[in-house]
Amino acid sequence: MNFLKWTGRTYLVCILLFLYVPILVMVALSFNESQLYRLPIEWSTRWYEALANNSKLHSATLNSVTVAFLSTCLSTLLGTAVALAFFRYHFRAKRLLQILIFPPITIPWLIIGTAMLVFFFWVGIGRGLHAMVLGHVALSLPYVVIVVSARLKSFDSALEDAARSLGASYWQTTLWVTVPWLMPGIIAAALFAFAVSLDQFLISYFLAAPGVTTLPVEIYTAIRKGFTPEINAISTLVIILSMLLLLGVSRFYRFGGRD
Amino acid sequence: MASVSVQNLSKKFGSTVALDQVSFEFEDGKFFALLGPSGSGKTTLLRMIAGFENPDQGSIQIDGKVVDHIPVEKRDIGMVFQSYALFPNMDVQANVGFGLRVRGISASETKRLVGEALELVRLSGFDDRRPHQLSGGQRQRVALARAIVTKPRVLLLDEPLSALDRTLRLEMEIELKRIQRDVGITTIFVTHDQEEALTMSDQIGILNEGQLVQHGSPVDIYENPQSVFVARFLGEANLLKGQVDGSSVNLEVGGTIQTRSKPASPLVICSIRPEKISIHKEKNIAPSSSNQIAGRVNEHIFNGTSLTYLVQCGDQVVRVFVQNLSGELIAPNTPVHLSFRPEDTLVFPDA
Ligand SMILES: Nc1ncnc2c1ncn2[C@@H]1O[C@H](COP(=O)(O)OP(=O)(O)OP(=O)(O)O)[C@@H](O)[C@H]1O
Ligand SMILES: [Mg+2]
Repeated sequence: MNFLKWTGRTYLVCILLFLYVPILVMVALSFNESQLYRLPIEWSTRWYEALANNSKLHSATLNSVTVAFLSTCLSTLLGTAVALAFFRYHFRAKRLLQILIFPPITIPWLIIGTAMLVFFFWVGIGRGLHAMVLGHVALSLPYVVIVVSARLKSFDSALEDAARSLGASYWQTTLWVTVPWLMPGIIAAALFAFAVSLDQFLISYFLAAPGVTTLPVEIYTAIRKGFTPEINAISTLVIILSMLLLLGVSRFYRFGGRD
Repeated sequence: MASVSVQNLSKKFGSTVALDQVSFEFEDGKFFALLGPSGSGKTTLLRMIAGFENPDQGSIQIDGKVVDHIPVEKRDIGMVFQSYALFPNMDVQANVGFGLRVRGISASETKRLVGEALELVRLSGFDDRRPHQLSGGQRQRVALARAIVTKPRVLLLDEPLSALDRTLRLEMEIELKRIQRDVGITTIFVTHDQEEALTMSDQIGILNEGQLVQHGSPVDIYENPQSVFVARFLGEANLLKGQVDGSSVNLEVGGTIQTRSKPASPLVICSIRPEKISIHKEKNIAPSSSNQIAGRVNEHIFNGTSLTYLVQCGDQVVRVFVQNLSGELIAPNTPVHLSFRPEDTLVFPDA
């Protein structure tokens, strides 16, 4: 028993180290004075100060946030509607549609990105932020559907029946009874979608118009040109933001198990 | 408030027949209980009257008007669900006021009407509570207040008391009946508890396997069941098999008896309610017109106000209820004679 407990704990610690050591190293180095990773670390915030004057990173950040915000709004709205439709209606193609929703999670992004690029050019959407928004909606939609559907599983549909028996129309029932009850799920789904969009590199890389990029793409370009600890600094900021988002998700969405 | 009439309703789910040619009518302001075993189609019938399910066949009228094509939200019904279905994100005030809010009634008028409804169900002062802060009985009352605050034409209740413990259920039965009488609302009440149906309703309809096997007043159904199923389902019945011999019946447990009506087939089942039987130690104490059978006391159960005897007659046990008049018990193993009137001996063909 004791042995099992200890192996369990060691295992857990190893996983956490594996996940977080590279990140911690990067965070530490972002505060290092030296550009060449000289140790010991000399405390400095010069890379953060450098960030303040990097207008390219600023516009890339703004683009990232804009794309993430718009695609989150769209995919949350659409995904919630899809989840509700799956919950309420029984139709012949439902099973098939439910299956078709998920491939974007499993198909390699490289392939999806290529397909989108080809398709967007073919139909005349082209490249640019608007194309990225559409691409990110397609990517985050399955996550929204999964998270909202999970919440709907424990929804008592008698609540909708009750609302209708009291004279509420379809929309009144949805907006006043179903959606308020789904709210924690919807918020979690939106945070998920936001994180998916913010972290997305490949699709954004493919769909970026020349000169208009998102933060991950900009970081990648910067690394190729020659690495500076400035990248460590901006990455640290992105990590903090992502962690906050995930904390938000876990606040609204149980990842399994009990509290 | 309105009369309700249902004609030839049928409904299948896949190959299951949930309802089969159900027809009944009843008047404005009455309390109608739908009684039947599990899976007999009670909920299906109620949901159809509410408009949640479409019948495959047949038609429903409320107040003489066909409502078949009117959606739930326009039917002007109130419904109390088995799970109460209170809105968890709203407090009691908002729950009860929901139907008024969707009708666009002003806030002050809503407040007044909700206050009245809460007073009617004796929950004044609970306005700010959330559903999870209420007991089962209180939730049930909120659900009831919410259903009647819009003054619907028909109130539909699907086993609203089944989630409550016995004491609370008896209390709520009385409350519910009082509220129904005060408001004078036409009510259809689904239950599988026969006692509930008997004590609360003006009319009872009994469903079995999707068919309405009998409907009428509680006394009528209890005294004149038209099938063995109804006799057994509503109240208790001793069922004795026998063979017809002229105008009388030779019972398998011994004895020849007269029945209320002429037996229609050679093999019959006689049904006698336990309280219509009297039990004696001596023979011939009952009037000579009475039916008599002999037996031996197996066991007695003392209930205070009454006694139940289990009497072995042949290979069957007959239950007898007697009032506790003398305080004397007949001991087990005593030979006894059971007597009952031919009018109380119902006869059904043995299928
Ligand atoms: N949505 C449905 N899909 C398939 N079958 C159904 C559906 N609803 C009801 N049934 C079937 O129809 C029959 C009648 O069901 P119903 O719910 O009306 O019974 P009930 O009398 O209310 O039973 P209970 O006392 O258990 O609530 C049952 O055999 C049930 O399995
Ligand atoms: Mg039912």
